[in-house]
Amino acid sequence: MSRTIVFFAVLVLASPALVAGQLATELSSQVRNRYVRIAAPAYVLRNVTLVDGTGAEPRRGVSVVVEDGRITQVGTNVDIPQDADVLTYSGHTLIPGLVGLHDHLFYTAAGGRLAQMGFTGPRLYLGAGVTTIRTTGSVQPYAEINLKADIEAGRTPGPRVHITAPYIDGPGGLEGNVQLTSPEQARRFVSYWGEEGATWIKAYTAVGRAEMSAVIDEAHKRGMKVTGHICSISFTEAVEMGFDNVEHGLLANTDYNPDKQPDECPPRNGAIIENLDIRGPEVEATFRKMIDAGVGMTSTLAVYELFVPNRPTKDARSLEAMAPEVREAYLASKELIDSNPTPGISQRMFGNSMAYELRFVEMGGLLANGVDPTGNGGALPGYGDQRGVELLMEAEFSFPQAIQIAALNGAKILEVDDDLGSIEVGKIADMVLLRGELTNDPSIIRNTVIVFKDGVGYDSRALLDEVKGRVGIN
Amino acid sequence: MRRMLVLLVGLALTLPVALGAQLATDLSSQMRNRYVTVSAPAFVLRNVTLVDGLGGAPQRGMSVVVEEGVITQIGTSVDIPQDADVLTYSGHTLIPGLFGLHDHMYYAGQGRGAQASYTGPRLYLGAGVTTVRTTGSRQPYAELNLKAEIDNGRIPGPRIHITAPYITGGEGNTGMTLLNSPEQARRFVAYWAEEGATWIKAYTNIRRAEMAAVVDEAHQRGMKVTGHICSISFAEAVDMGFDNIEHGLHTASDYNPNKEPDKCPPNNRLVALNVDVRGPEVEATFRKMVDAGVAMTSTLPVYEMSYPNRDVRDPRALEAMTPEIRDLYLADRDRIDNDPNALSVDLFKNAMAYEVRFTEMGGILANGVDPTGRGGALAGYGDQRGVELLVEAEFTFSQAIQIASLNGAKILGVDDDLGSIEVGKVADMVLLRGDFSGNPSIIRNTVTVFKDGVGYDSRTLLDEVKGQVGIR
Repeated sequence: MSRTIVFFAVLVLASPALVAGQLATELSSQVRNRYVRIAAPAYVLRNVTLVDGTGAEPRRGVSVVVEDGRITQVGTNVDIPQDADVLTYSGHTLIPGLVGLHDHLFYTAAGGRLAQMGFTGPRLYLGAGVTTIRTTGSVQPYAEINLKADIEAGRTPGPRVHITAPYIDGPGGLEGNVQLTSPEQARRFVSYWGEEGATWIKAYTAVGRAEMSAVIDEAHKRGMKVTGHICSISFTEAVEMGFDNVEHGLLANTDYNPDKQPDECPPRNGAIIENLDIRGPEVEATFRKMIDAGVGMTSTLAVYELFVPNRPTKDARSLEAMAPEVREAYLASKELIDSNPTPGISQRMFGNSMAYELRFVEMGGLLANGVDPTGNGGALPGYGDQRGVELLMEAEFSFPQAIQIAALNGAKILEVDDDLGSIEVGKIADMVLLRGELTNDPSIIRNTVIVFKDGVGYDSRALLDEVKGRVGIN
Repeated sequence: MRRMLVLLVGLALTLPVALGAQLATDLSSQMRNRYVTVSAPAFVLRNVTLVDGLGGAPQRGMSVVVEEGVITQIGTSVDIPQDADVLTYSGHTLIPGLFGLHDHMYYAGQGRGAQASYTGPRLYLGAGVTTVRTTGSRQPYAELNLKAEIDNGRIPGPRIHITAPYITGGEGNTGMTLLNSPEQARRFVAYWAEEGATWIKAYTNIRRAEMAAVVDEAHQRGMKVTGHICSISFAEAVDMGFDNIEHGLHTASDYNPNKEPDKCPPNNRLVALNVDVRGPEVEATFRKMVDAGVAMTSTLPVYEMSYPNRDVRDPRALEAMTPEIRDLYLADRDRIDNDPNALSVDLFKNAMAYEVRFTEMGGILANGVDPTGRGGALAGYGDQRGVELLVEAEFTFSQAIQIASLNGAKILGVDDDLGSIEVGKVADMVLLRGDFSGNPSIIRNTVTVFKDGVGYDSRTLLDEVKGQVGIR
């Protein structure tokens, strides 16, 4: 065994201090006993099919060595460290832990329900392979700050959490959102939540430009970043104002609506979206602007799919996870959508939305993935992130590209890509082991077996089983 | 008509400037059309039994005159203003609008929880609660927005005194703000003060260092402080400057020999069972509280549900709950009723006696529901239940009404204008069907709820929430 080479490699790749590792010994015994399947400080996963998150083609027969939470070797031939466990996983695929950029810790369901997901959220995300989430808006902000602390203290299993402040909105905005009515209030908001640990601000559809400018200025001064589900502000305006990221894609971009008035959110115009020439100059101009400014876009196809008639949105696992009353309300809602001759989102709109994202990436844009577990509640945390990967493939991204979008690109937007987002030597071992090797079948993403965070292997089934019947409750 | 005298009296009692009156014309037309049954700027309610909130015996055959949202005459004989509507309400009782001092705008029960932006305001107003203090929140911006919508006449609901999100100490997966330093505590108070909170609500694990910073910062900003405390005893709270304390005997850790500083002792309830409310320890607590002007909020309805064989299956509440919560709640009731080891009702009675003793010694007791716990005490309906339980505790009905209205107004500092039916005060009132003759359950017979002299139809408000409590 060429231990010298291994040793040298480990030395050369300095361990960045910023992202703290949480090894098995740092977890509470309850979490360890209940959820952890691989606790060895050093191990080798042998003979997997590797999709490493860089966009590279799948590689078969690969082994990955993990030591003290970091990936130290990747290759068809590795040196097995002394005392390392050796786990052969033929017939399995390894991908990076997913990074969900629109992954709320609250959930909404048909019939007006809203529940904070202190229990089900972290388990669904981690169990489904999402090892990092950005909360991208909150209505119970302290609950989320506390959950993050609990996860980091090893008391609760869950993903890494990037806290976004409560939603900011304008007058007449959504009930739970802060309605900013002055730049001074806006600055105070950013200042306070920045001190409480938020790293991102999420704007919503009615926010005014005066307040938004103050928000961005204050946020950037504090090293925070800004995204939004915007409407009163178009994507182009957002770029000009200094947004770092925009959510949802075509279905939330009012750039192409000629009726758009400043500071006003026009109703969604289905005809415009259906007929927009994705390869045309208008879209090109939007993307050129975004790309030049380095503004990423978050794809949330899974939540929009819910509103398109006759789509396969009756995922059995999701239905089983829902509380019975939530499931009942969801199925009734889906029936109405399926039988509606004038749906809120047509298949054409949905398809054009996919093409919009493909075009963005073609032109060099940074696209990330998220679920957005809201709407009528059919896209759950975690399961919905997986669905996002499947839908990206329906949008004609390859599996490796979809994984890159759903992992490395998210890490880039969150600026943690030095350590996370792909399976590369030197990076932290956040990874997902999937049963199967058919990487041209998108549904492989659902076959999570073990989810690694800091190299600790969590049992996917143990996490996911616990949420059955509880989504919509807590 | 002795109009001169009326005019003089009207002038002498200056209209309160601080409260902007929300007359019928200030409401959206949708609100007016849907909920308002009395919109006349001047009207007389004739021949009611009046329980005015001052604690005295009910007065029969009374008339009350309201003009521009203010009570201008009360008497067996009144001068009817020109153009005033005259509404004869024989066989009805009039009380002040209730004050709920532990009336959250969210609901929790049977493991479920929901922000109650829809059901909360309708239940509170419909059940006669014209002013609430939110006393802790989970979705703070939702509550600020709701208050604005109500104050702008777009949504029906009570006057709302906003309390900041709960503060407590320690760690854990809770929705409350965990204060870990005095500096963080001050920043919290400063921020929520600017956003419009007027009260701070502490919870059971708050530490004294952070609490002291909170009280100091709050008082500097003209805010007040209350708490569901435990790690801090009632005596400590008084010493620290609390303005109000919630819940009473069920949460007082003063009599617990295992109480250590900054720690909430376990099994507090067992200690409470044996506390002698007429003994020297309790007298010392109350002497301290009364001397410092620290009030206590009674929340008997939320605690009642922990005891077996109590009248806690209010069909109106059951109908308002979403079905799954109702089923869980009823199963919970059955279990408690049949549990040989259930809490002894003697504890509940002791808690009641604690509150009676407090008022005997001069303490100000207010009422609130706390629509949480086992989930059967709902916004509004639970405030009514509180009145019934205060009577069971052996307050008179008039005293119970005083506790549930004027005393709450005093604690909130609005008793110059609200809390009782007196000439010169704002016409927040509740018309109940029946002439009060000894049965406190008359409190459930709300017909019309007046806010600023605008009469809202109780039934319309209450009907709208059916099946929605626990959802929104």
